[in-house]
Amino acid sequence: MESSSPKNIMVSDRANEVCDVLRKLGYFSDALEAYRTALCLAISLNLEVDTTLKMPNNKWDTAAVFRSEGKNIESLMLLLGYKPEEIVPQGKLLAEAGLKYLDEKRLANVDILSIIAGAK
Amino acid sequence: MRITKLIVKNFMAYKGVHEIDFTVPKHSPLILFLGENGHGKTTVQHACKWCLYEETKEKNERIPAVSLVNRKALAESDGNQNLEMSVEMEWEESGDTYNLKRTFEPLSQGLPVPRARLRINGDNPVPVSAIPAYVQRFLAKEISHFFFFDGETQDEFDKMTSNHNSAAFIRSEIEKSLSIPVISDGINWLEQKQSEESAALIKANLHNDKMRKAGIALENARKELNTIQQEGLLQVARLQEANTRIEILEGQVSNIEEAQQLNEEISELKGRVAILRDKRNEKLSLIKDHLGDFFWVPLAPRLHDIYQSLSQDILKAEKIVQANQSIHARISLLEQLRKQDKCPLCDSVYEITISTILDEISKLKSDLESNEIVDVAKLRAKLRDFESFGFKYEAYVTVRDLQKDFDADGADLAIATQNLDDRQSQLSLYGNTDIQNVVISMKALVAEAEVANKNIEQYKSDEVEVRKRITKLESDIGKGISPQKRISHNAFAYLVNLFVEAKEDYVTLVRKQVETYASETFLKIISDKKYSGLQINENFGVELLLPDGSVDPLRSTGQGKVSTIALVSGLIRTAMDEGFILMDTPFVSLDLGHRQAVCKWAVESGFKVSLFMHSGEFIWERDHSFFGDSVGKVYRIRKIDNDESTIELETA
Repeated sequence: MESSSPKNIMVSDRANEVCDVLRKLGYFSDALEAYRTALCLAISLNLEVDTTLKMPNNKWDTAAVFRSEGKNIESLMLLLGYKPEEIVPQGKLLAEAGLKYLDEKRLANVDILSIIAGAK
Repeated sequence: MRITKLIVKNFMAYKGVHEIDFTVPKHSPLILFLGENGHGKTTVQHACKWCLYEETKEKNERIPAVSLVNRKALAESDGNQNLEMSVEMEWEESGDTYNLKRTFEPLSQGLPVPRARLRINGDNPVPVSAIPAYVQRFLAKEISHFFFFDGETQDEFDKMTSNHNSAAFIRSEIEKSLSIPVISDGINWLEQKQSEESAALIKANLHNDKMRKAGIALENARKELNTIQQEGLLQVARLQEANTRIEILEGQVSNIEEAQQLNEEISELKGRVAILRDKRNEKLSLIKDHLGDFFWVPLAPRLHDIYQSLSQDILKAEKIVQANQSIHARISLLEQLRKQDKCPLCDSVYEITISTILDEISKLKSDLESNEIVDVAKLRAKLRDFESFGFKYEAYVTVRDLQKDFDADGADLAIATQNLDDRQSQLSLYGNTDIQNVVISMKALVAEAEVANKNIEQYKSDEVEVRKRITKLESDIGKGISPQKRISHNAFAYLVNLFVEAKEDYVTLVRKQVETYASETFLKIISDKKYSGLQINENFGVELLLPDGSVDPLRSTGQGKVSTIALVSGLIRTAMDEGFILMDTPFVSLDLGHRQAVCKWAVESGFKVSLFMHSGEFIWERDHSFFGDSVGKVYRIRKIDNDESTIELETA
């Protein structure tokens, strides 16, 4: 599926750092897994997105994040009713919101695994 | 001994004068003292003990007389030297009335010391120096715990009655209250007389060579006996010393068994915490593995709903497609019919008209139009989209279950960690006492006490041997004198033997009597019917007897309490004409069944029983039926403020 999104995924400093921390803590084997999970978590929890967020880090290829084989977020978001053109821009903001939320919970000593697995 | 009256003045919580009348009708011998913790129930027992023995203890520490004076009275006295604290106790024994009053004036000039006065039947006071002997005769201090029974110090009784060595020191006092020393005194007197007689005879017959040799042998034998007796006494002292040191060690650790128990629990909890941590780590690792593969886990329930809904839509759409196909087939058939006048299958002529066929076709086409046209292929493609991100609901269920287990283990871990912290804090309360060292010292002392006990037994046996030799030598000496003198001389030996044997028989008999009475009481109270009674060992230690004659090594706190009550009951019934018992918080650590059984025993025992109870164990309005009509009096103890309580007769 084609989309009009840019080729590269830009992320904020905080999201960049959180992905790295979660990976180092052993929750995810790579930063991209953390990013995808955070995106799903944000949808699940209906987190508010910050459209003013600065994202200076050129992190991944859009296809690698959204259209990876067997981990196709684009399909998932379409199933959930997102329009094709809003998948990448909205998905980026959702992932940022999810990572921020996870980071806040982790810093508050809340078990983030139960947040991820227990989310409705 | 029957207590009839107690008057306390400015004693502990009781400011001013308070009188307790212990006289009750014979058919209702129970007196209940009801009051909450800290209101002054135990003070009544303290008053009795201080009056009788000039000392009372709290947590095994003697309370100084000055600390017994009511603080309010002391504060309000304004330095008045005549301020008096006193306890007056009256009791009856064998038809005589004894009145003992002990007084203490804390502000008197010089060093204030308690004074005592004992009157018998209202006569002039007996010499002050004789008072302890009188008191000891009626109620030996060492066994007073049994009569002033304190449920809160059950552990102490339990140890005394279950540990042979600890119990040994109370044996002599129990024997005293059972009149056994009277026989020992008789033996000593006779032996002394016999010795004097022999010495006189030998002196008078020094010319007789045979008698002189027997005399020397006798003298040596007596020396040997003396040595054995001295050694025996040393061993008794060694035993007592060991027991005292055991008590000191117990005091150091306050409750060594509890500390050991805590150590064991800590070790067990540490193991449990480690196991739970391992289990959690294992589950955590599995959850992390799954999360890496299934990034959609946070959305799984929603995705599952969509998947289910899609599956149902597909089924529904397939059904519509099938229905439409069937309608098309019918229309096609009807179109053919319209062109023919008979059935193409059976050649029969149609009875229906063309217009009917057209109506039917029209209706079917209408049905066809009303059926929603659904693109099943599109729906199936959507379902296949789930595969594009690896959705498997079962995988989510696995992760969710793992998470639940992980959380449950976490809760268990938190409880175990909390318990561990609690136990470690409790253990730290024992201070710097090295429990291991105390245990080692304790074991060494117990071993020493056992050796001393064995030695005592050996010396007893040696004493019997030497006594036999002395008897033989006495007899030999007797042979050398005139028949008349011989009869007189041998009479002493005969009487000594008679008394020694009588004492042994008497001690055994008395112990058996205590055992019989104690067993009767025990069987009445104990709810576990597997026991056949109690066995009282020679140190008056108590063991639970099973029907096959063996003793039950298990002994719960409740069983310990019941067996102690039974022993006390046995001792009182054996030693006293009219027994009494003051039981403080008697129901602590007893279940309801045993409480009722103790009440029943208190009613039927024939003793004058006074029970001191708080609302946690007995509420008069609720539980008075336990006692039937056997309650003679009810006293209510109330606290006015931190320094003053009252005791009032509520029901008589």
